[in-house]
Amino acid sequence: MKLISIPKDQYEEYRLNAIFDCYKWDPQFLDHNTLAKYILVLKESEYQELVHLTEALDRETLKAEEFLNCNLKYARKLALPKKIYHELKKMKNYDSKKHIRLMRYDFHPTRDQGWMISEVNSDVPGGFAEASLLPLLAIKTLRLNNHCYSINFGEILAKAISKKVKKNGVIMFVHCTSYSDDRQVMQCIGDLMETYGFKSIYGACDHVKFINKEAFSILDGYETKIDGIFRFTPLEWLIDVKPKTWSGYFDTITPSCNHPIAIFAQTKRFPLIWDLLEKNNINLENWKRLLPETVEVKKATENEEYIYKPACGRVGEKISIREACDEDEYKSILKDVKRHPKKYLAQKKFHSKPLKSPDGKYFHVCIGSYTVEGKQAGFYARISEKPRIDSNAADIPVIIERNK
Amino acid sequence: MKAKEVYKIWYEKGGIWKGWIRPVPFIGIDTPKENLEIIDYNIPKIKYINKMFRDTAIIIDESGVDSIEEGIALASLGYIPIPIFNGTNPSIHSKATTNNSIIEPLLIWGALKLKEIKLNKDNPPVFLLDSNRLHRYKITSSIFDNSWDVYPQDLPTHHYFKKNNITKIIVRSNQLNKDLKKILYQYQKNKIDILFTNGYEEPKKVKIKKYRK
Repeated sequence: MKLISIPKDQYEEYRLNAIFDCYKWDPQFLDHNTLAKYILVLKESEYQELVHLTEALDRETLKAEEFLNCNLKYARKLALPKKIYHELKKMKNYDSKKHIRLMRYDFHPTRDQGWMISEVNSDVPGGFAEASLLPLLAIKTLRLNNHCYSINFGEILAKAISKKVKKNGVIMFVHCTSYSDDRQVMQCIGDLMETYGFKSIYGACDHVKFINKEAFSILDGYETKIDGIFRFTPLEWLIDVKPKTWSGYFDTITPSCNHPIAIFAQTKRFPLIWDLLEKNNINLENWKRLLPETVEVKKATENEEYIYKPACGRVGEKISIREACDEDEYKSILKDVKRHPKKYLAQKKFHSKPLKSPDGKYFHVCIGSYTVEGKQAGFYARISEKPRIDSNAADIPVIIERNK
Repeated sequence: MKAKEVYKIWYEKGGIWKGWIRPVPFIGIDTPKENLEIIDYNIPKIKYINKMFRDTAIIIDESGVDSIEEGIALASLGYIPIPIFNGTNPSIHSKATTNNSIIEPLLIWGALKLKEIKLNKDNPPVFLLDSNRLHRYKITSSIFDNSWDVYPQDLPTHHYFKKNNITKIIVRSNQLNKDLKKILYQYQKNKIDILFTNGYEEPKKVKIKKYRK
């Protein structure tokens, strides 16, 4: 694995094309440019290893979530928000053949343990454009097509959706409509679905109404039956919407990506029920090998070897990696952990191995490896000078070097 | 002019502040629109400031149209206009809470004006906001809510401002909006003075109170 630089005189054009041709609408966060000046190149063997690990993890996750759906008593320890927990029994009719399952496992190279994962983004993983069009742009910009190739996540996802949603049907892209960074993710896949003959409409979670378990759009100008739901509003946000119009997402027969079954693995407390799952013959050996040891907060109090993570955390927020937080942030996380221990978990720290760039800088890397319907489907990677990969990190395209 | 071209002009004029230009309204420029409103393009006379102050940044929080026009007027004084509009558009034929697309023709107009103005890359910035972003009222639940807030990550940190000798921020608006106040409070806490003007009176120092839910 290596970083290669985008030449200075080509970078501005690359950035412009990333914004306008690759849906990269959020190139800045505070004082940070969020579009890396590098490209991440994997060797074919590294790519194959990540495919193998990702698919192995995914098999375990899919089995675990189907088991939990049939045995909800085991899910109690996940401490899911009550509003979600009350809806779970509705998912009894869940049929994985009818819905599209999408996940992203976040891999980190470490100093002494090889690859480790920090989480699975099971519910609403993002980064679609960065995993689809950005690598193509990188290859084109640096004229690497004879030596390298990329995996087009968007095309894989679009094909999977096409197989399960009625031909030329209407797909509602459900997202938080006030956030342009959500819209960029939806627009990227929505535009692609239009090229497959579908009608893409963009709305909020309360623009979907359920009648006899089927989804209908109430969006102004688009009052129609929906043939597919693509949800980008996280479940834990969905349940705060008033009036309660969201219950139907849990038992809808309209093909969904993702169906709320995703919540079992989405909570970072998922590892806390592994023992229970293993007693019921759910094999989790890859998860156990790749995810650092995870325990309840009280078992790791004042132990420097552990970090705290919020159970419903996103994009690295509120993770107590001391060297990556400023003092105020660190104190505020600890205070919150003390106040709401069930909303957090403690996880053993791993030591990320930074990569050296051609210009001598060191960057920590997180490679998000997608699965669509159980098969590896591409990468969304970020780099950061700090070991915590959060909103300040820069997006970097991943390409694969062909064997010579 | 195509979207990319329009963005490029604003970006190239953006100097050390160019990274903060939000691409979102530029993206919409290439998309066909219905019922475009008629806009009276004009460059207003600035009454609250008569020259560029190197230690002072400005945030205009007026309607998007007025904001861009005033931004161009301030560019004539030397300020670098940085549009940070961040609202999306609904699907065509769908009613929305906010008309974000009205900004798009102004961005084209502004780009043409900017081409004629010489700006040094380290001149102070004027950030352009649209106060209509906060229109959240929905007559029915079928309306597309494309209202939006400005967040701390949409603006430079106090470190960056200070590194570039900015110690004061003038907010030009009818009122201090809640989302902006939260950001301004952090600047104030970090020893950046906040001044307010309604556009007619001289900017006066204000004290921003901490936001409490």
